Amino acid sequence: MLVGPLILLGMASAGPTADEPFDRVSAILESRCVHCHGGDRPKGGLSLESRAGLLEGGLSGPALDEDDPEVSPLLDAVSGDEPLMPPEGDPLAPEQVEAIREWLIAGAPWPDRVTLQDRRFDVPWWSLSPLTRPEIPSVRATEGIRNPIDAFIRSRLEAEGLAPSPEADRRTLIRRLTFDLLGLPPTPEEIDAFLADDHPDAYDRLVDRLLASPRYGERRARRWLDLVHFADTHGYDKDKRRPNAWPYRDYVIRSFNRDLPYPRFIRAQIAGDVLFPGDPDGIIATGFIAAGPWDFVGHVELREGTIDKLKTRLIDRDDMLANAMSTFVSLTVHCARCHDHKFDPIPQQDYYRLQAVFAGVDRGDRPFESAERASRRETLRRRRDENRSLLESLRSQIDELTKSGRERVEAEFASQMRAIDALPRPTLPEESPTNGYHSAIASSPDSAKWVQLDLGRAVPIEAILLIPARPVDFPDTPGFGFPPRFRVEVSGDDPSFEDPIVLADHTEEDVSNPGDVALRIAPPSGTEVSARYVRITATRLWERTNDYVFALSEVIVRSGGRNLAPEAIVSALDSIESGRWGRDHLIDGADSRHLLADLDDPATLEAIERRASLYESAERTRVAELARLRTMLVPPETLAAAESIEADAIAVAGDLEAMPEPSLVYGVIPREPRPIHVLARGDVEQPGEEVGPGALSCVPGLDSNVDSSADEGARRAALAEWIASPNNPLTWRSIVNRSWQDRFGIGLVDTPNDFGRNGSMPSHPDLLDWLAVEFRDSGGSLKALDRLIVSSATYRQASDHNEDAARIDAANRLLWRQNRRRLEAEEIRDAALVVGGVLDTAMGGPGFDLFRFKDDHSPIYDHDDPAHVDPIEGRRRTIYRFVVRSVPNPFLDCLDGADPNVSVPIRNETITALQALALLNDPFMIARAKDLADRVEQGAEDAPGRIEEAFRIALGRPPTDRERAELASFATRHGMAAACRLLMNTNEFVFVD
Amino acid sequence: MIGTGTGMSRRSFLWRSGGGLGGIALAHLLGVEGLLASDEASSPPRADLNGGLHHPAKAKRVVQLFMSGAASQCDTFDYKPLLIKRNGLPFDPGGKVELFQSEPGAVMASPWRWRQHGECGAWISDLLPNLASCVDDIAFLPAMVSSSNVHGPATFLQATGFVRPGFPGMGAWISYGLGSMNEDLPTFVVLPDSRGFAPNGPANWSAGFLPAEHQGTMIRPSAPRPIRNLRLPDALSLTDSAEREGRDLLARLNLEHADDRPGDSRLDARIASYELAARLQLSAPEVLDLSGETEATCRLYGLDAEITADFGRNCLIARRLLERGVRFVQIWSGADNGFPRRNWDSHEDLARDHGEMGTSMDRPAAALIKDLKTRGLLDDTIILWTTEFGRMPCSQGGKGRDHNPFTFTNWLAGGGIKGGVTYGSSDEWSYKAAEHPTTGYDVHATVLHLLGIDHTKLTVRHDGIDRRLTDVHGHVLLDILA
Repeated sequence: MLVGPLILLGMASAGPTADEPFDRVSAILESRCVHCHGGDRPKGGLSLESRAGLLEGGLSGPALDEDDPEVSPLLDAVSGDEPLMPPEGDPLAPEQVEAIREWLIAGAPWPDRVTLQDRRFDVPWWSLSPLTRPEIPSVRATEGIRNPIDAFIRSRLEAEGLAPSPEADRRTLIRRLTFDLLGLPPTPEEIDAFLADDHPDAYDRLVDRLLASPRYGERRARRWLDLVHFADTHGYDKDKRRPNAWPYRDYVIRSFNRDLPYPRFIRAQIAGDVLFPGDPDGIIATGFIAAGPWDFVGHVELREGTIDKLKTRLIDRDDMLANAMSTFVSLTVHCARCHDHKFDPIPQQDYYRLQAVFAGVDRGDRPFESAERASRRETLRRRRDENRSLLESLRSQIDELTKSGRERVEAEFASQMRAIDALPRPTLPEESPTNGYHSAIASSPDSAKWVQLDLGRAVPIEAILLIPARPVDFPDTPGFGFPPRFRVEVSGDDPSFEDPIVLADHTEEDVSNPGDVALRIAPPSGTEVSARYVRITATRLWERTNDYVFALSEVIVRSGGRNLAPEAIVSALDSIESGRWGRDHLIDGADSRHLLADLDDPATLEAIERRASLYESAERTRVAELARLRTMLVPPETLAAAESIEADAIAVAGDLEAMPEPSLVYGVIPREPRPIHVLARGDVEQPGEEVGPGALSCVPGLDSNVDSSADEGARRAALAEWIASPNNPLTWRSIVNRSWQDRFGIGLVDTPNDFGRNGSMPSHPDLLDWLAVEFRDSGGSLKALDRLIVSSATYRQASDHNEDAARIDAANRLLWRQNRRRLEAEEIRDAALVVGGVLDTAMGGPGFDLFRFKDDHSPIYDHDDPAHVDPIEGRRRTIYRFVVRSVPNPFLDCLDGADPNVSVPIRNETITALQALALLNDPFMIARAKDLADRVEQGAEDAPGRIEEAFRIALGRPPTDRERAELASFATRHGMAAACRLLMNTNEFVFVD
Repeated sequence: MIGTGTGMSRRSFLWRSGGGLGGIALAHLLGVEGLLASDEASSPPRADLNGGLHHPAKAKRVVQLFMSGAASQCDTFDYKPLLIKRNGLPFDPGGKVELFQSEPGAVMASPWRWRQHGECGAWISDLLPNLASCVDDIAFLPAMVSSSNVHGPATFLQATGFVRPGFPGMGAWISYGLGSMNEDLPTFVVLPDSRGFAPNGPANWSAGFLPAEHQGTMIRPSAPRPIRNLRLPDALSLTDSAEREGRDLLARLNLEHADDRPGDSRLDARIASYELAARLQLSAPEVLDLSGETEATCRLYGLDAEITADFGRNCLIARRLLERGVRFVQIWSGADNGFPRRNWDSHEDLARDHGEMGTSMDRPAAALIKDLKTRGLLDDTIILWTTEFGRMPCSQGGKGRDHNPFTFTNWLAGGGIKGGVTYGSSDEWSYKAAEHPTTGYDVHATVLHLLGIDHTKLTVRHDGIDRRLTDVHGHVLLDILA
């Protein structure tokens, strides 16, 4: 077995000398070939682990031609312009191919008993190696160096024979800095003040001012939200709104503005609810995990127990773990779903251990509130639960004592129901096209669901008839969905039912299922009730199959001898609008099976009422008999105890109800973790061994194991600690690289989400590590990091081109100048608002719609409705818009806005004709050009003066004489708005030097 | 394809700056034919490849007709006498039958009669009499299978090759790979159903991680403004000459600005993008103006009948776009899953809902085949008829059909496709694919192949993976190639 030399040699070309042809070739095979051509099932049947394997060959014969080694298939496969092998990564270097050729000609010598192994990962990889603080390099020319960053940059430039560019002029600096840190242009006043400030610390004070601005968090949050693919809708088919996603967006903005230490920012987003109990932000931050797309149909409408359900959940967890790993540690762990990672030491096992971390996470609206309120609520809930368990035990005593009598009563009730079943029904022979109303499916029986009728005006209510469902597309079940506990209320003119009249209250005790017999609800005799709204609220849902629903086939409202229900408008807390179910089917004159006979016909009504009253009397008898049994057979003190607890329960319920509802954030809903298996080829139909939670095993010095008995919260908490550990080198390198990218347009590593072998190497590895250590050891302050970077001479350089330097480093990876950049979509929109003088700086809260919205089975988002392109509330910064996943905002989309369906670590920067059309003609841009025209028309007397003003506002500089004259002439003939429109279409407007 | 490290940056920049309307301008401005030659995706086509990227192309453009909501195979193209024989009897194909939202009902014969057509003798239901007259040009794929039984993911699978959002549509890949044939028009155009978007909305034709100009440009012929922002809104009125003057003035401002900043081609590209925009403003309305079409042509597409007028107009506009060099046109038949039904998702009443959808699609789709053929365009234009999955041979609630991902029919016609053939088959029930199960990846691989693209080689590194339209799957369907 060969050990030392091969490991030390690593990649063949890296080795100092290797005299033996075999040593050189084995290093190549071990680093590039054996991971496929080895092991139990070598690709193509060819194993290159041993000489025997080489000779035996694979499906296409021996790899070595012993008679004529130069035509050996092995050599053929790796030679030529487009070599067949290796299929991934760069082709072998010419000297490597040559080494193989020489070795084959030499007869492919192979030392005895030597077996090759996959050693791709034996060579240390930069991103996984521990962080140490590098020495600050010394440089020859120290002039102009402002901080250690410059020393690192300068030393590389010197090595390549390059020199840094001079500092940019002040006008450029303030525009660059203000856009970079705030995402907005500076005002003419701010520019003038900076130009006039001749104190040596003028720049530093400018930086301080900008870092202290609330706009800073808004700008930085935009980048973060790109990364975590945040949006305000679910995505996919039936792209529903997430009305409570925005608190997470605000949390991110708030955290950046408060300069929350980065480790805390990490912990909160992965497991804040567990690690910071009592802090509402701990819960809000978990919006991170829920930020991505979610398939409503797959999760909600698809039936439990189907293959597609498993696929839906697999992909859902994949989204969560990919989000966590890409965002925080810049590794492409999601590539290991179907097989071990092809380039990085991430076995499939690790991938599924991460699936297990999120195995108990559902996405949904999670309540949060202040610590005090939460504690009071907790106390009340505890009392409620204690009451419940006491009551339960008392009731079971009572049940035990009354057992035999109860059985008799229930048998009698059942026999009466059978008698009712034989009576004539109020239906016609025609089949019903619909089933009726069906609530959304709940996972617990105790969530309240309501459906209500708006009769259009207040009318006297004589009776309300509830006809239970009995769907045809479900195994025959009379009374399908009929809630065991419910109440029926009416309300005069208040659709929110704040002060209702209760007509029937069965919320304290279960009623027996009426089968398909209608229930009759009427005001107490002698009273007159007039109402516009009728609401039926189920307080305990009907059990379907491991889930809970509320359904009814038809509601009839009798008034003035007529049924008024068919003219009502039906609304509901929620509703399945699918197939034979739908809100409107509640009043369509048909039960689940048949059309109802004419309800204005007394015979029909009599049939209904007869059945209803027989049921009512049977149920009444049942309840009375049960009560009688209790008084007869149960000791009075037991009954009294039960009564007093019931009274307390009502009081507690009242107190709970009186508490203001907690706020909601779309975040993590914890549940019992589902079992996770390693899936062969990522296929849910090929489960392998079950795995527990864990992190990545490839990071040295960190324990990736999580106690396999850890509950849901503990799993996420463990992952959060693993990521936020000072010893996780990926975490710190990842975030400082992103911050660098934000200031230079390109990261020190230009694949910011991939620090693996398929990503790029850092351009300045020592600088990256120095920044990472500096950032980590000074407490993880992003503002301090930003201050450090923008204070460097490197950042402050001019962005001018230099022919000589470009010949050496055209791409400017060594930063001999600053990079000019095009504004991002949101920056263009925000800048237009600032320039127009109409930016509304109100922060936070629900997003504004830039579209016409119509809620429906499949909601409609129409971005082309002229009434919604430029709404007044849309004058807030673009980060506060409501982001729709399925239908992107066309204006922002064409300007390379981020697609919230995927993590976007770098925005594309394209230049297209459609962008030109958007800036020229979008009604939003036209409106801003008019705003700017209004501004300057108020400010200056004549056209040249107004053009002067418009230049200073839009471009941050006065015009040249020629520009002033040409624009003024154009404005005089075609209007000031047309001239302002041109300014907002210039390259100067959309680029920052 | 996109490399890493400093060496890639120029290429990467070009890639990020795109190859469409703006990108082409950029390429011209840079005079970079030589530079681009190193970049597979943007390289000028070699003459011997007939426009292809990796091998000679058989076709130059594609029109995809997407039947949203799942068109039933057993009421259109997949004839099964057994369903007629067993109509109303229990459905028992053996094994557990797992449906999307219902319990299996009885076997349900199609409400339409079946007849044989053409020289190939293909069986087509009477729902589609016009397409029936085109069968000798069509290659049917009746053994299509989908790995998802849910509209959203399954639609993505056919549109982008992945079940989740965020991936480029097929048209975006083709635009990226082959570039434009007409700089005055977008490369990839989408004509949504006038009633609304299919499941997933415009995410079906997004550019994903490809540069923005490769995304489908939406044209809505029936909307007051068919292309967003093509024209100045009413809020500002300027004469054409004022617009011209403004454009020239803007160019002067930009040129002066660029003169002070040499060495940055993006500034020049952006100047050129305004010229291209002006050309698009002229060419787009011309394409949408049908007044030059003969009455016979309009009738052929069904513009004279209300039920076919909408889809017919979109098909006719598609032909005009293809004629003018648009690479990929996607036409949608079917909107969202709302009620009443406005797509092919006929859970409740198949005869009623498929009746309407089928009739609205049949004449225009057949017209497109015939018209392209008459004009000699069918030889190098692929027509791809797609749906996301099929429907069950048993009934749902008596009159509807539930989803069937186990077998369904897509078909192709035109450039490089053998007409009058059928590849693969379903079982005797039209319940599961029996012979040659075919995936959306296979169809994508085949379309790319005909365009001269090796589907395994058109890749883009994204998020650590070399992504391609066909993921890690796909086989070119050699049996249907001419």
